[in-house]
Amino acid sequence: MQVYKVFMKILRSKMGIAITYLAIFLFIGIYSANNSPNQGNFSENSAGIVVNDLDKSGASKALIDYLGKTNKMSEGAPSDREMLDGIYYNPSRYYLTIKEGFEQRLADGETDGILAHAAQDGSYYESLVGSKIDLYLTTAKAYIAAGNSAEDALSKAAEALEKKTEVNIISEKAEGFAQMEGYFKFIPYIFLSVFVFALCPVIMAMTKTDIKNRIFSSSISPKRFLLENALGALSFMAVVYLLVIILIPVFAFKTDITADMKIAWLNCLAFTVFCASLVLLISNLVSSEPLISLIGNIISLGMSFICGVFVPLQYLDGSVKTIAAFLPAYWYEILVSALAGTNGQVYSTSLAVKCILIQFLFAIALFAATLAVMKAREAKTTHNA
Amino acid sequence: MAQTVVKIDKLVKRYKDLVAVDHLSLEIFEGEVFGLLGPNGSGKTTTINCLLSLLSFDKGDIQIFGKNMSPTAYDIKKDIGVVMQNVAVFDQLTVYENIDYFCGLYIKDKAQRKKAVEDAIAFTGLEDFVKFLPKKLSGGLLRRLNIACGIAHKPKLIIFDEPTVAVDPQSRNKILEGIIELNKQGATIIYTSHYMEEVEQICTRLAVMDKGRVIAQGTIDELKTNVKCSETVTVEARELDEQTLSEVKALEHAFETSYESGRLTVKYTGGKHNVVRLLNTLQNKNIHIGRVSSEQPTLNTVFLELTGKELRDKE
Repeated sequence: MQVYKVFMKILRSKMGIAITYLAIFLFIGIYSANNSPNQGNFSENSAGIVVNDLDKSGASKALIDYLGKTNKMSEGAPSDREMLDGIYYNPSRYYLTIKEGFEQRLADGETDGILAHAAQDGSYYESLVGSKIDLYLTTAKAYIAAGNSAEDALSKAAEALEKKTEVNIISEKAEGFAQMEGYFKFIPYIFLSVFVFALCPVIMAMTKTDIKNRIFSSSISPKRFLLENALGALSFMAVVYLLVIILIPVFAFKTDITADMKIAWLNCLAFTVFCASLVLLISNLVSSEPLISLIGNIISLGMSFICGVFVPLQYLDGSVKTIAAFLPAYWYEILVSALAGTNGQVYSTSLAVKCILIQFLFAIALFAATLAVMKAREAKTTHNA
Repeated sequence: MAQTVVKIDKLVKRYKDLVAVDHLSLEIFEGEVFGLLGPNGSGKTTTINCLLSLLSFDKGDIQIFGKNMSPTAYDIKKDIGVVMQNVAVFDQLTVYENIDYFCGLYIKDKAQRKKAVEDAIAFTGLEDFVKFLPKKLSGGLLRRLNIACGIAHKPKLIIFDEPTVAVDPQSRNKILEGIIELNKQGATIIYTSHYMEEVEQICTRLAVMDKGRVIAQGTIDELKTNVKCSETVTVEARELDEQTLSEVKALEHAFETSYESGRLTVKYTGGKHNVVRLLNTLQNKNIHIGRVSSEQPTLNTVFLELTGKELRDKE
């Protein structure tokens, strides 16, 4: 295993860059996964309401208490200028004036003109607070019509409106993988970067013509040399795959090993095989290490940008998606989105098979291209001898 | 009679229409330092690559240690050491690790390998640099490392393919001394070069190659005796008239005479005391003589006469 040992020894000299990439990825991936919007929980939006209570009655207090349950309340009597400034700088600001005689007029069944407000015209918060007040007053009016005092009617209306509708999201997808989407979607970038930057220089060093000639002049067979090199590359890829794709999701995120997770693993495996073919091709095409860095960056960043790794697929232009369809990372991302139920993708077994198969086909195409390049290089080398 | 180590019989290697090696036949015996001399592109490296089975060939036979050489002849390969034209070491490994790696391709036993690696380090004088990475070594040291990697497993046949290209004179001498020492220790050496001085210095026998063919082979003396010009005498002399020149041309063994810018050059096919006879002729004519020089034929003379061109560009 002399060749394998040296492969690993040379690879060790490239570990710094691999670990740096992995550490950055793990930080971003874990952060992204932990901060992804939790689609199972909802909370009401709240506005900042400044109340000018000119009525100072029990009814006005009941209204303020009701609004205070879901909004941030403060009291004040701002001038028109102050209100304009407040609305301009803070779209969630809502100025409510409870006019004098509010309680009396409400008891008379009157709701029009008993309040005044200032908010950003047509804004979400104007609608939110306005509809809340309307609903509250309309309900209270019904209680008043039933013979309650204005104060009683308002407290009963508040009580009635406290009953909230329970919302449950019905989804076919497991919550576990949906939460992991942010982590898994970065895999193409990190795998391309780590494998290209760490493995290409090693394979290049091992297969440099002069070194290869010296090795093939020895008593080691070319077949064994190739096998030990392949074993070296596969060992590294297997360790990275195991760590990033299986160990961290299972142990750090405590993710259940669901059917979705297994499909995600298979998806990553297909992309890893593609990376292996790309690494081989680059190692055979490029002859200098700085060039590897350049090509590696172009491929990893380029593919990541247009295939939805950095920008969600739904925000990508149609023409960009058309180009991206000719790249394996796109199909990887499509399956990740389908598994998570995001970006308008719906999971189906046929989609999963299609996405994984396309990635394997890309890998086969690159392996074939590598063989052609190797053959051409060999012919050129022997011709120069 | 010494045993045949390498026998190449009518080797032909073509690259499409180009014949790189053209019916080349060679026999190299045990204990020899055999030089393969020729200009760039003459087919030396192609011949070596065919010899090592790194290249397939179109016709001919190659036998090493009496066995047919093939890409899978690992029992032959284990006794061959190769020092390539370009330095073939790993930039990421230290001097020790590089030698250990290449030695490990032949010797599996750790203790035995350790001893062999240490011997190679001592032989090439790299003791102070074992922990250095190749990029920290000078050109000469790098060449020595290249040699150490090729000889650490103590091969019976060592092939040096232009090992002194772009090496300073001091390191070049050190390398050549090392090769002679390896030969003394029992290794048969094949040494390819286009530096005739080196070949003259270390080779016991050689073959001159041009356009993929061996145009002459034998010991250096044998090759030199085969050329027409055995001595060239140059004399600085002013105002030589036609009659004097005719007398010089008529001297015994003289076959070519030229007189330009006060320099008289006479080439001889053989004979002894040519200088004395020439000087006597000139003195008898009361001609004032300046500097006098006599040159024996070199390998370049041999090559020039065989091919009509210089072995290599003047440096």
